Amino acid sequence: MSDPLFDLFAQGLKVSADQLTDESSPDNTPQWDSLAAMNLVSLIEDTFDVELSTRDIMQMRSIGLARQALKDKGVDTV
Amino acid sequence: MAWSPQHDAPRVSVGVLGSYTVDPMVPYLGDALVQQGQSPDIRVAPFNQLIQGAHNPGAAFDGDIPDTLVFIWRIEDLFPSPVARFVEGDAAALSDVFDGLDQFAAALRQLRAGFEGTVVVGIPPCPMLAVMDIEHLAAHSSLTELHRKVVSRWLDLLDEIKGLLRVDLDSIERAIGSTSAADPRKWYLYRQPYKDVMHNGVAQALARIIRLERGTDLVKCLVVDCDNTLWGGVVGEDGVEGLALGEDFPGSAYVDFQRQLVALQKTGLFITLVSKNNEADVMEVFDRHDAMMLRREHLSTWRINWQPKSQNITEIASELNIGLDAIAFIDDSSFEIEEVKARTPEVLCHQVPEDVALLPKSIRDLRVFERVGITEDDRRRTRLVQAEKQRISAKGTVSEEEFLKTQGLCLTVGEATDGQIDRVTQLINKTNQFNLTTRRRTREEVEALANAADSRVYFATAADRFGEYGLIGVAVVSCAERSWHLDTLLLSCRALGRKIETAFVARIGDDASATGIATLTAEFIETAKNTPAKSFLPDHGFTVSGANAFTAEIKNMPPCPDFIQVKSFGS
Repeated sequence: MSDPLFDLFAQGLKVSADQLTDESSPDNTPQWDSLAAMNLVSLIEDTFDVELSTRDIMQMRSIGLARQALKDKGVDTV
Repeated sequence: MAWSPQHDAPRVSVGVLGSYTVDPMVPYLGDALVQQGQSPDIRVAPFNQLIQGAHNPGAAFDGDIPDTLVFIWRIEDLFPSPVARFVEGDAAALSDVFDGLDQFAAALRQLRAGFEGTVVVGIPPCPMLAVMDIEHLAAHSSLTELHRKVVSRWLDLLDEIKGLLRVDLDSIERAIGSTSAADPRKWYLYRQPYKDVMHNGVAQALARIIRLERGTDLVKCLVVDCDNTLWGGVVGEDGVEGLALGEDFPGSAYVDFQRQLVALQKTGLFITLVSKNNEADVMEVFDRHDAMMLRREHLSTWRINWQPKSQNITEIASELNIGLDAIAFIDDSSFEIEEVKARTPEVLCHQVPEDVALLPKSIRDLRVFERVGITEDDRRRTRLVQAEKQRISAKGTVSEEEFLKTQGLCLTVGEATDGQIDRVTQLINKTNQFNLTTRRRTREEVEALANAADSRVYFATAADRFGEYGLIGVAVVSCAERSWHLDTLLLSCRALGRKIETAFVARIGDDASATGIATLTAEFIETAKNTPAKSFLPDHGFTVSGANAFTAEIKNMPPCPDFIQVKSFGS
């Protein structure tokens, strides 16, 4: 079963979902530049119907950290 | 969001130069252009290099300059320091902004002179400054003042450069609401000031501008119903005074709708009426109702009758010489909307909303009447069509005779001999329209009739100042002792509409009179095709005397029209 967050990041980063892990971050994923990050913010907010604060966004330095931040905001589907 | 290239769609390449990070707008623009059936190639120039890009677009786009260049900018991005000084109270800072605007405009002028593609230039929104983002309640806002002055100056500068299109970020942001459009998080994190709703708004506007500039699928004509569309109520029942049209709702909404129509007419759109009504009733509203904003002179044409509306719309399209796909139709009735949709599916149909307060907004939201630039040709178009209409109706009302008099018509009548029998036989056997009896005959039969003592075979040739028509008329007459009988009377269709038939039969009457005959009889045998001949006998002094049978006293028949000169063959 596909992971909704990997699918989302794959879409936002324009890479294949199977290249992504919870450890994927701007440091090891060249597609994750600031434009992609900006796009990911919109995607996450639209997909999970949440509003991210600047602090939330800055915390999301990897997919795993994004997963945790979303769980903290009450998103239980990630 | 992403779009796939459309291989057979027309390619459109767009280069965007932004004073902020415009990249998030690109997918929305791509999607909007694909929706319009175009295959977009959108590239973004390096961030905040608009003036450089205008001076040297080749460098901004790596040597491959797109067809359309878009300059999107904000005052606070291009002139951060003067803006800050201005809101701090330094009024002189405005002249620094103006200097910058002059430079920007000079670069655009130079670009426009050397670049053949489309150039779209932004009108900037009101600056958003975090530190000054406080609404002034009693005092005026210095940011608003700055914005007004800059936009006013910018529009003046753009007016001096021919061939620039504009995208109004200010009105886009206002429609969204400046609070809803702004994304302070992304501004601080990524130097990107807007939420996606604003990027989408800009993209939709740009896509429409690009489409309009290419001039495809434009609505050129608006067909509007009258009752409960132009005004509230039914003129045929409520009378002019009983209509809802004026200062109070719902009349006020109809007034606003009419104002929109007048404004659209001024942009070059044809405004036309189609209404199931008495024409006189509708025109009485136009002539007598004080609150009518739409006036006769705004209308290119109208069809006020009980024909199906699809048919009227088709007629209007052909009168205005436009396609059905260039027509939008507005009516309150679901029945009429469905009828037009079903029979003329190319027409864009718009139903008046149930709540007429929403009518003016619904027209704005249609988005199909936008124009990127109003040309003097557009403004003239309605006047031209009206003039043409007057010419056409002049042709109809300046008497037909008046027209025919200038044609130099000449008819030569004779009795057929060997020289004409072939052509006469041919006409007898092929003439369907103006033919009283459609009686066919062989050459031998025609020859026998021509040679017989008790019958005559007449032929007629015609000419006018433009040339000869040749042998165009035939009559076969049986000559009895007390009356002559029109066994056959026909006219080639190329000679119709000139009263030649009147001259021809008058000449036969003259010949009969000359031999002491006072009466002509005739037959009319109706066929599927001879409608043009149907009224001929009643119109020429003949009365019904039996089944298919007619009789006329020759003295009661109309004389030869004085604009046709009749000669005898061989004389």
